[in-house]
Amino acid sequence: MYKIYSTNELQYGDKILVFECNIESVVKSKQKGVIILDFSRRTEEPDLKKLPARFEIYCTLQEKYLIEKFNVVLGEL
Amino acid sequence: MFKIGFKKHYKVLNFTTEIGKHTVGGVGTYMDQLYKYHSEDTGFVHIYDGNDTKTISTDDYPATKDILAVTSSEIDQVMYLSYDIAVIHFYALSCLVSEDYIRGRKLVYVVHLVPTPEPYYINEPFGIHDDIKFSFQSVCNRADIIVCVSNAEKEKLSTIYPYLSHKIIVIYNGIDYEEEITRVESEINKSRKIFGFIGRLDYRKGLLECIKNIKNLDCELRIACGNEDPQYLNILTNYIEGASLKDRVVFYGWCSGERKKSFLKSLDALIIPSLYEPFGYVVLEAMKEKIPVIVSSNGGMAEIVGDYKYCFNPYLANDLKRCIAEFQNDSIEVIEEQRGRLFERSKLFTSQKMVENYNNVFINI
Repeated sequence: MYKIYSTNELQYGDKILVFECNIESVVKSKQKGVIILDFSRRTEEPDLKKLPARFEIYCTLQEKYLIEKFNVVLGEL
Repeated sequence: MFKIGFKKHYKVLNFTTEIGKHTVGGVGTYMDQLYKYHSEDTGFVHIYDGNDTKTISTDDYPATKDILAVTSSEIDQVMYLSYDIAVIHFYALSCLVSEDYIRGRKLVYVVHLVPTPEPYYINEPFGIHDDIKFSFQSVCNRADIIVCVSNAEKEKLSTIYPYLSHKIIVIYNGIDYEEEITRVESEINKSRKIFGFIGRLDYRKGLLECIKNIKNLDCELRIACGNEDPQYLNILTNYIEGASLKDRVVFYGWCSGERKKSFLKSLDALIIPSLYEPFGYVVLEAMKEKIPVIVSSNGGMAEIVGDYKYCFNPYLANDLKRCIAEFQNDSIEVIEEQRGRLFERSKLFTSQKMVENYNNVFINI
């Protein structure tokens, strides 16, 4: 289970997932989606508990399948 | 075209696709080191993909002089630059060796990697990639001097193209070494269970083999990488899930700067499981930070680490597993002795020495 850590961070187990978007509002809007590791961000954050994350919305199960197939899934909303 | 303190004329111009924040792997590290110690008469031409949506700025580069950024669609502009010696760092820039561009100038080609699959068939070293073969060959053929980054790479290139042997020299890559910095040595843990991998997501880096080798060991593998090959990532994640390794194999994304240092410091040892590696900058970075390494002996890394205990043959089944287990079971004293030896050895590979060797090439060409 996750908990909101800040407007752009979610705590997921012992990891803090850092988003570029306002994840707090995403959570509050109850949007469904998959949280993936954001490989495109070249973060210099020294705290290894923090992982760059991205929220991917899907409309169909096929889309969800493809997101999960080619990414590292960190969680789901 | 974007000039950053770029002069009208240079003795030497480096043509590269990687520099500063435009880095994919070791070539970027190399270029930043070369830039840091470059002389006044050396310039850098960064050729990048203009279709990239990211806008380019001076912040992308290590400093604000001697850099020219050119998009691939503007490459014709390179014809009008004034310089004496061209240094090409990537075979994909092969268009620059046509006489329209080079105009009789001397050419040095730095082979950071002979672009073959790994392993490769000697009769067909480039496999189905004829485009890569012809680009690579045309730069090699035109070059007055070919620089390889290790003896292993020189041997590989000479084996594939014996007729090039006479013009191949070896200059090892280098890294900053500052004597005055007091390094805080991380303690060697009694129980050593945290291992790490840093590299591109490329099957030649041997990550899948590494995950297979740790499967039955009591340890965790931390992975710092990009997602350069989503299909390969899918193979990895399928294996991880199938082997119930999700809790023991953790991805951290791309780690650079302070995060990379922090990542290295979090490890008991860094594993470099490459099937083949021309040089292996990451080994040198770990050595400098006094992080123990477990390294593949196939390629240039064996030359970097020299006489070192924790080497393995990536093609010998379970040899990595054996090596990790040995590292876990050895006494702290043995590991400290090996780590100290590596740290001393890292001083042989300085950026200053590397740049001096290149300057000698440019004087004598």
